[in-house]
Amino acid sequence: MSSSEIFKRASESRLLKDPYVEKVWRLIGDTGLFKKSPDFLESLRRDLLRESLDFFKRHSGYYSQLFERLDIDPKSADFPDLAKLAIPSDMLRGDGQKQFLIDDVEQGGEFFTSSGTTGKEPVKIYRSPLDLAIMIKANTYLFEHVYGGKLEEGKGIALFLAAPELRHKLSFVAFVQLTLEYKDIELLYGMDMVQGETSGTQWQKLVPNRERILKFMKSKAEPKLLFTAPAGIYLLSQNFEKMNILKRIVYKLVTGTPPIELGRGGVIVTGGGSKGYTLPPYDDIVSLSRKYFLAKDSSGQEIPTPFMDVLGMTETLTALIDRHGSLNKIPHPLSQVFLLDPRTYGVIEEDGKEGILGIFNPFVTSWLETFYPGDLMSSMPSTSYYGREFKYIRRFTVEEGWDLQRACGGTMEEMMTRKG
Amino acid sequence: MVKRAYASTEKKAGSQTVVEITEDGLSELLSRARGVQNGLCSIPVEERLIVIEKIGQAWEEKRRKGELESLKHELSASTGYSPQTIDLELSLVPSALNSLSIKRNLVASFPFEISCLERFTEVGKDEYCWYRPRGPVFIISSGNSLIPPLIPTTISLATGNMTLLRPSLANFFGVKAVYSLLEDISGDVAELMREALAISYFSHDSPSLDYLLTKSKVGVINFWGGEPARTEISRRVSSNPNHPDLIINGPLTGYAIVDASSATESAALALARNILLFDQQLCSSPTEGAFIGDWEDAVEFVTMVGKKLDDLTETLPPKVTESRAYVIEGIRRSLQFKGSMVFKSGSSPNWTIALSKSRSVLDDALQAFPEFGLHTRRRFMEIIVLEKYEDALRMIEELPKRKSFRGIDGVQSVGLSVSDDSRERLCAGLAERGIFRILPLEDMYMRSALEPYDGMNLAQAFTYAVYRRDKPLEA
Repeated sequence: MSSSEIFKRASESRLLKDPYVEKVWRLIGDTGLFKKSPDFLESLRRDLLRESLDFFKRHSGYYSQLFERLDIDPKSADFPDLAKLAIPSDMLRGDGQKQFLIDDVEQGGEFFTSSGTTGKEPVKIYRSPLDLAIMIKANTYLFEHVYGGKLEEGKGIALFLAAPELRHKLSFVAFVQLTLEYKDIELLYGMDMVQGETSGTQWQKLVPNRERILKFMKSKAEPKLLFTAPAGIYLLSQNFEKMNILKRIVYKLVTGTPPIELGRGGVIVTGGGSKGYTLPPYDDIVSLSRKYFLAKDSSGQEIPTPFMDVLGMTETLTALIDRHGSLNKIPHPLSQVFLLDPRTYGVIEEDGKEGILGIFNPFVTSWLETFYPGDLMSSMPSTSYYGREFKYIRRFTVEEGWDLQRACGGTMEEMMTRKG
Repeated sequence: MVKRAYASTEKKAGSQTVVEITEDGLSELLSRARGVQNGLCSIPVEERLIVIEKIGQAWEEKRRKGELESLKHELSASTGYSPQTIDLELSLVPSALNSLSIKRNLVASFPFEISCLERFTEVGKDEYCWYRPRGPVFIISSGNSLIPPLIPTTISLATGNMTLLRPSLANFFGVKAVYSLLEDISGDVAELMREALAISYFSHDSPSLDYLLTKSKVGVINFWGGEPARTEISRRVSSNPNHPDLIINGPLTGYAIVDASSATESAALALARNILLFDQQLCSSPTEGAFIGDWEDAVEFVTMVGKKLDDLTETLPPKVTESRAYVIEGIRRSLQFKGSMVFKSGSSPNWTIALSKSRSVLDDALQAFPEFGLHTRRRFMEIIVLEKYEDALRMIEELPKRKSFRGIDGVQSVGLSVSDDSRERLCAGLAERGIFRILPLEDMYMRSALEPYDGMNLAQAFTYAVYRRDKPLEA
């Protein structure tokens, strides 16, 4: 579906007749939220929490029973209740989300899946047309806020170091494409997907599409927006770094790069983890990349190339975005982001403590989107609208249990291990 | 361990370096078997048991003096049990080596007097039996806990066998520490026992292990464990031209049945204790329960169990890692969101009981957490509320087929807290379904000296009977 189709179908949604959904739809289009105070927004989110639980109680027999079992009354619910309601993302693998969808969920939407790099069944999430429309609006406004200005319609060019096929698989790719479509900004995919066989199993890999990358490099359009996994920008920069003088001269003659001019408002947007590469710290990637990718502010003054990093995952409709050097990760004003104590799984109130990231998105209308994906983060006070910023610490590693299988079932330990 | 130093080789197994007796060393060791076994058999059983008892006494002395502290921490690290649980286990070693208990077991194992282990003993008019060691006995023992390997090893020795024990990596140092006390016991009998016992680790790809299984003249191979090792061991043993007996004690688990009329505070305490002891890693540990009665009664009972668990956790705290807390919290939510009522420790992942209506929800919940298999589940129990006793029997029968119990052969022990009226009927039903032990819930973890092991008689399995008749049978 294109963004215009999404908005058309969303506008026809029966759910918009529900006062709660109508309110959410109105709020999500309000860019003024980014100027409100943290207290105002917190109070708004508390109201939304209650109204959202009430909405799901009304639209789902499952949630009605669940709230009763968890002793949660939508009318008086509060943020600590999210600690009870948040599900681990593992529960969304395979068909896990199905049980959480409301009874009258609207069809005609799209499914997104995680990349499946953990070796487990991927997380699979259904997004109704209305939710997709909310996703486009919410993320676009959040992006623009962190970017520091509006993306002007029809201006600029974007390169995404991903393959177009991923648009229908990965929600981050979908969000970028749909947002740029919404803004009528040309998007080039810098990679192609090649089907291959390795060790008898089908797998897919990405290879660069030089033609499209060159088109982006040579383009005079402004701003230039580069979307990539950290590995992508690192490998590109490293490629330039390793060129000998001769090769660099030849390359410069043919492509006009390096450096690559991103122009006024140019930005590099990263997201999506290491993708299996062993990477240096993010700061080092930024330093290296700034040698070869140049950007200017709106007045044409050269500035250190802005880097924004997006923490998104399949199961969240909106991302947390940071701006390197000036702003840590920050959520959408209507998202309730919380940290859970890794021992008790209660909500951590204070800043400065490491906790398990939890997200509640009250604007999602198909299922109660509150979950924890298994990432450790910490929070710090902020002067932003959210009053808090978040810093990524690490991903949880879970012992798989094989090393404990020693009781009656495991006398030949070496045969029980997967490590050979 | 052994008096004689047999040719050995150092080997890396996991993160540990172990010493493994080589093929030549084993060959030499086994060549001495007949002499050693004949020597042991010539000694009265009572005297053999006195030496075993002395090992237990020496152990207790060391424990009392605090000399087992470093071993305690070593075992805690290797087994995943908390130091307090290891403490408890160390305190139980003397019971496993108690001469009176072993004697009672031997008496119960043989149809005649235990003198039949020393000489021809009259079993009828002019008819005699002498139970001779079937060994050498090669024991591949079970995993985490220290006590289980001691049981077959001690019985094998008591019945006069040359005994070769292969502990697990987890309990190796504990087992070794117990039997090394033989070194300090004086006298000919202890000397002979030292000669009769060898402890060595063998990795699964070891040529020595292959030799033992496929070529050696061992009489009995006693394997404690499950797949995939069991099938591999069986395959190799079947190719041994000497046809040793292969005795397999497969992985089993325990089950608890409580009915509303017997859901008392003491039953709650009993269940709580069983959930905590050895983190449910024993074959007798209840890992699922059935409550026969109404939902409200079940809620009341589990609430009581929760209180007892909280109390007992203070003396037997678990070993909690961040990873374990993450998985247990995930599984709690998964169960809750799929319909179970979850009871849990207040501030940490110490214990969890899920109460489910009519059917187990755990299999569904495991879809999200496949790593939460039976051997990973500690201090965790799902209790299913059922209407009829027959439903509990059905649950027990179907248990080994379920995803959440993958890897076990079946239910070994069923702990009961039920009305007297239903007990008899229930016991018959359980016996029909291949259960090996039916016990009071209170002490289902306790083994009586008279008990068979997983439905069989170990002492008999380690011996063979020589029958003698001096006169023709009367017509």
